[in-house]
Amino acid sequence: MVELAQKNKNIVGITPAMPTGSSLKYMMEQIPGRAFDVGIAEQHAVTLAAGMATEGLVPFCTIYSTFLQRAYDQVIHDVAIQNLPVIFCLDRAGIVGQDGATHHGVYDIAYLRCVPNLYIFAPMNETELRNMMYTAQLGLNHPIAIRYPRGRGVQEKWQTPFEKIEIGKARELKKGSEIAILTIGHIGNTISTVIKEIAEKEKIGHYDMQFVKPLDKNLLIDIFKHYKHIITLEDGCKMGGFGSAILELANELGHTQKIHILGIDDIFLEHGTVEQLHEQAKIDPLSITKHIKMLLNE
Amino acid sequence: MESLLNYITYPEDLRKLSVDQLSQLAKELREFIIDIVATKEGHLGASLGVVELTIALHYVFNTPDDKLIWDVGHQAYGHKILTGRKEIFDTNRQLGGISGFPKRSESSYDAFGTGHSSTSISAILGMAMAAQLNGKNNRQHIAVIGDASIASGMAFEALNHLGSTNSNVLVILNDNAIGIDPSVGALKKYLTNVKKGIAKDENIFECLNFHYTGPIDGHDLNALVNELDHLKLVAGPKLLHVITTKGKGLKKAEENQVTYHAPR
Repeated sequence: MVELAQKNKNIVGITPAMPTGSSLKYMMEQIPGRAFDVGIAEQHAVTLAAGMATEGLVPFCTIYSTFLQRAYDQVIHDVAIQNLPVIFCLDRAGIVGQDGATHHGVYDIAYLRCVPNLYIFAPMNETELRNMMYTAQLGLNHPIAIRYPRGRGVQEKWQTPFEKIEIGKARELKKGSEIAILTIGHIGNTISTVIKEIAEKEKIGHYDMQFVKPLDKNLLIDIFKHYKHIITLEDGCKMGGFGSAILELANELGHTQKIHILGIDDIFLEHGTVEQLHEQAKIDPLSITKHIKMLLNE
Repeated sequence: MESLLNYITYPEDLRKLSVDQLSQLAKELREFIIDIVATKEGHLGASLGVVELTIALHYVFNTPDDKLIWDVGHQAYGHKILTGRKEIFDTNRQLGGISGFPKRSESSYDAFGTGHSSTSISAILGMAMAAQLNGKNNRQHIAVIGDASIASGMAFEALNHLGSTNSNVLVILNDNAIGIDPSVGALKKYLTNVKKGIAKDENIFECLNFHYTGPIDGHDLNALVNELDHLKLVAGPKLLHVITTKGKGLKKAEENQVTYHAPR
């Protein structure tokens, strides 16, 4: 973000009291005039960003997924209705681990997906995150939420050159013949690992959807036609989430194969390590492998 | 007497009047609002209460270059009528007509869309900070917020941030001691004491680093114009405490403010 802000003078950063947690401190140190900690004030942070966007600034509003819940009305009423191009960076999206039920960022896809005008993007790796931030600051004419989990990245060399991302475009990581696995965000890396361990890997396709909204409809039409089974995987709640969006589209298009939605059930997960909680939610490598094998044996 | 309102389409027309003529205009604007709302429904009381304030703001400030946000927005009928929408005001709140609330896509004079309470200070601060970054140092930024709305958590979040900046923002506290129903709480009690002159010495807004003036009579156009003229020259965060009567000028609305919030 500092890299981008040094080139684009319109970029400003806003955080409600999480400069260290959300890494805005780097910008506050290097470009203090354009990076603001507004205190524990999520609602204010969102509407402040909206006010700045009306003046042509490019606000990156960095808020933990769980804390954006506190500013939901501001997202709808002050940003989305007026279609102001605020860029929400939702840190700590997904299961966060030991902070537990109060802090898991597992509802954002569901609660943002129903809001018109708003794009939702989740990067699988650092390059996708960098490229989306780059693309967003070029000017989208829409607000966007970029959600990513807590923790370190997956790439050794993360400082890749910036490239523009096409809005609503998914990536085909691997073609298959029977099972299509559609993933959103960082948890897609789990599938890349899982597929390596499966004997009949040629039967499995893997798609990194990148956008929950807008969905890559053209690609999905091909996928629905081509594959017998569809699995969706997200680090978020099942109800109203990414898998739900795929299911709605399939239904709208008249495709009738079963869509296997993997995500978090309609319960509050408690605290534990991220790995333990993924096991509870059956979105860990072993549970996913079992699910795939069951489908292969059908 | 000849109508002044007939000659006003935009605030630039209003600015050609002398201060002495403004009270006649206020009378006409009030009648215009009552006539329309009598036949078309809508939010009546709040708009009647800020007729003088609306005129004074557009008279003193250079809208739409200066930014003006109406918190909640249902008190903005007078604002709409004076900013190019007089002729279509009878379509207020109807399908395909103008919105009952400020709306950016409707007019450049509607700096920020509102509808829910307590957002105006955050949004105006965002604009004021943007002005500082963009070198627009002379631009004025005004948020008009009621005493019920300023008591919400979000408004305090914004005051807390604004008071720590040197941003050029004027918050106008429109104190009529009522939201839709009468205001409640310790802040309301404090504001009542300020009005009676029996509040403790320290002013709550001055403690938050605001330049505080008031309370002044929000229906006295001379006082409003003088004070706003003066505040234009004061840099940084400012708060002007204005006392108004919801439903002002319509006896039934003044006496029964809850019913006349939005009469049917």
